[in-house]
Amino acid sequence: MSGFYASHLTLIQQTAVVAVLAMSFQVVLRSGVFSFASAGFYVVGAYALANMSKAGWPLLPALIVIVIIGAAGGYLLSIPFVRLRGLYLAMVTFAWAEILVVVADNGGSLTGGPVGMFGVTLGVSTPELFVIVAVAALLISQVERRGLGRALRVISIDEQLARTMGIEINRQRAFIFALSSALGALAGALNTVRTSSVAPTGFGYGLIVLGLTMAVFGGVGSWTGAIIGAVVVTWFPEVFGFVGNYRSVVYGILLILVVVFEPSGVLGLIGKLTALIRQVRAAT
Amino acid sequence: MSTLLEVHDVRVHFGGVKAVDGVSMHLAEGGLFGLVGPNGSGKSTLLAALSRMTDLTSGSLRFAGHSYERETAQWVSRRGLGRTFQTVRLLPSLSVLENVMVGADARLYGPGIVSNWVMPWRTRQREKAGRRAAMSAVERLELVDLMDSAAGALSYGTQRRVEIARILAAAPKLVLFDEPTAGMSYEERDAIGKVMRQLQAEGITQVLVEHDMQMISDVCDHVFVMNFGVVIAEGDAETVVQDSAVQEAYLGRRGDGDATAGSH
Repeated sequence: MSGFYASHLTLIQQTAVVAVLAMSFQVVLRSGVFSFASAGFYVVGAYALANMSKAGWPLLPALIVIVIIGAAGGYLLSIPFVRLRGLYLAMVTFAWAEILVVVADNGGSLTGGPVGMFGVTLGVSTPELFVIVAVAALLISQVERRGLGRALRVISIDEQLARTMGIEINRQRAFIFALSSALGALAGALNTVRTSSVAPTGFGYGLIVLGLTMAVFGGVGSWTGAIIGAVVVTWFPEVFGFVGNYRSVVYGILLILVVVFEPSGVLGLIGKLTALIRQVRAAT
Repeated sequence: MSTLLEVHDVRVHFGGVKAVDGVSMHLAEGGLFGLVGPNGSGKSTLLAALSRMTDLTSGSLRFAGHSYERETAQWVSRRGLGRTFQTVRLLPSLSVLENVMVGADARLYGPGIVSNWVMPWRTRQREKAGRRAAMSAVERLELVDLMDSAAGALSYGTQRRVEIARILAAAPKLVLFDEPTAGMSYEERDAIGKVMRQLQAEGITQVLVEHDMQMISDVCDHVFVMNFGVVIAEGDAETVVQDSAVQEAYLGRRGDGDATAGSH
């Protein structure tokens, strides 16, 4: 086991980091908010941490400040975007994520330009990383419960009904926006810590595809779906190494199959399976 | 009895279409009012205006002493003005009880529901109170056996009852029902009529939009008849049916002896 742990440490840490990114997508999609803004704040978090590390900040305060920056930034961004729906919201937040890639590419000493920043001295141990992810997951799980969980569910399904039920739609959407942005910033910061570097590659479009794939594959209905998605997407190339160069093709086909046949993702599949088992047990 | 809802010269125009064109009405507390009229007469637009889903072109609204023509739909809802829609609007994957709890949530949590996010200890009492309110509504609509079933799996008539239970859980002062019995069997209609009279006995004011005159005359004390965006007659069901303007609106001509302004 310990041999496996040591040889797969990178992958284990990577799983934890992308799980946070997956949750940042899941939390908006579950509420029917089609925002990719968290991919933009991922960039903000990634560079903010590199700069704070250079300035001598300790890890925990740096992460806390980055989460606050992400939340505040997301809230501010929600003010002009809160009225947008569906495809239009997706388009403007996509543009936001792409703008930040350009900013990173041309940020001078703040971002290191196209080369990026190397030798980030702040580090994190794997147990620390898992504690951070667990805390984030715990906070996200609370969004799905009780009155708040029901209110968000109503908003995602039927806004008109939400209004007649006294649910303040814009306030809740702004909250979800801020929460998702904070998670995006946190994921970006953790990735910089994990790799000790940050460069303007793999941001923007690639990050959005990764986040969406994990959230949709796992199932946007719950935070557990995001975790499942993160594990599957990270470990798939490791376990199915033999598909080699056709990896992206297999990925794409898997995603199409899930969306067409089980839009609730792996979570939906698990739910159906347990219902089936219960039925069979009741029948025998 | 004091006036609960005061509607004064309300107009709702969509471009050149005068969907509601100068409606005034006083609804006394505890009354059970009928609102009838041919298709396109403006009933649903009037309900939308009263529940603040649609903005008024002009006119004023007063509910329980507060002017509210500039307030939001959410504000109106939290003050105790509830409504149902022509189509069933439930959360199909949630259980009946959870659907009904949605009705109680706004009253218990208030507009700042987000502030309860990371403080479950603050929500515990509210969840308990919500469950109690929902349970009592579920009992009144005789849904106890079904309360753990997914709402989407129920029959149409039962889903309608879940919607009424959800409104009751909000502890409303006034409920606007938009064709609550459309597509129901006679037995189901009777059951809904019985529920409405029971709610009236508890002091809840109700407005019933309905095509079926039999249901209206069985249940309502006072009926408003609309056509072309205005109220053309009002009074008890019997008087209204005899009214020549009403007969004309429904039958297209005067003086026909058949006064059962039939269901569509």
